[in-house]
Amino acid sequence: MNAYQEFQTSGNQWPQAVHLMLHEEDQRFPFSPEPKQGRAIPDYLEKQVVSFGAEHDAALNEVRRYFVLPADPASVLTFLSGHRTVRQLLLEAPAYLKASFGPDAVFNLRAPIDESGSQTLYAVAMWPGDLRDVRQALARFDDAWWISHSRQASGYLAFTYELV
Amino acid sequence: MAELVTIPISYFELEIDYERPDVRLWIDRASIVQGIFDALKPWNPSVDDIELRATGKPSEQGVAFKLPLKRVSFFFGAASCKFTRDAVDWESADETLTILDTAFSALAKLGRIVMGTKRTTIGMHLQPRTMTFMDLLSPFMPPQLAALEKAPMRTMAVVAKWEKRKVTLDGSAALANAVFVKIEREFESASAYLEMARELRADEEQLFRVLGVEEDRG
Repeated sequence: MNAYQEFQTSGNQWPQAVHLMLHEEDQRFPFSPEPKQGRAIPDYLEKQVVSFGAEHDAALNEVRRYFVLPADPASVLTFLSGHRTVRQLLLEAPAYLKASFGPDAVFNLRAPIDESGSQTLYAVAMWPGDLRDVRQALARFDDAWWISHSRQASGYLAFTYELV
Repeated sequence: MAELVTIPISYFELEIDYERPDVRLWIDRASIVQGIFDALKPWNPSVDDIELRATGKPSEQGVAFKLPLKRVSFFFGAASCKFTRDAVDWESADETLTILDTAFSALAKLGRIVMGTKRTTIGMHLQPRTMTFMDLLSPFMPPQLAALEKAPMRTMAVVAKWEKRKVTLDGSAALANAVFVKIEREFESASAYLEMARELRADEEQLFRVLGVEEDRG
């Protein structure tokens, strides 16, 4: 949150990284379709994909305004590229998170892969207070918003806390 | 012990006013554009990355080159020119200096421009690993101001200006729990790029010590 009204970036809008094929945003199974050899990709489709990419980049910038990404953010960014609904939920959650945990609460994002190979995104409240307070805050958040929206995440997103 | 911070967003700018504006750079610029384009060839510029800016105030109109792979842009107009690079760090400083020297030298030679004062800016968003951004900023708030309200402050900013130097500290508008730091310094037209880089690095290290932070390079 800034106090002084001033530009804080260079103002350049850089295009998203160009992949080998423009439609292959993410090459991991099962999120990317198999490219069909010999199939011409219509011009409009490439433009549309570039536009989707720009929209996704803008949404990721928004996510970074509310959540702290790991020092090496690749795991979280790749996860969000493959789970656009989760990204959207993250953008809707901050108002309810702030209302429940307080306006100064800091939330980290982590995307570990568990022993079975599946990946879940965790939004972790870094909590400097006591355990009872953070449990109450999480319960408030669950009741106010998360329980009614959790189905959209299909189990790929979890909100939790860490005492610091 | 210094707080470890990551720097997810950073940029560098160098803006130079010409000793006197030259409107030839609007009218007779094809050979200059071609010359700069050729000079930037080692970094694979594309014709699509040349932008003719014909809107805004006359001083804002001109030609901009972009090198997307290097996150570099270079603009020249009739009164000034400006180099910017995003995602900068000191490891890539030599490359940054090489690109900017190439661009400025080509413009000076082909446009027969005499460069004036050099204004530099380094912008960084520092994200602490364990502290909050207000933990880093609040020591710079005068207690008299902080005492105006009983409630804790949500955010704050500090701007300090000297004759040839300016420092801005603010909460980040782009990242969660991050501090925005801007270091600006003005150099004489004859200053060498390497010497400028050394001085800016010293400014950055000095400010990091004052803030009590250290970059986490892990």
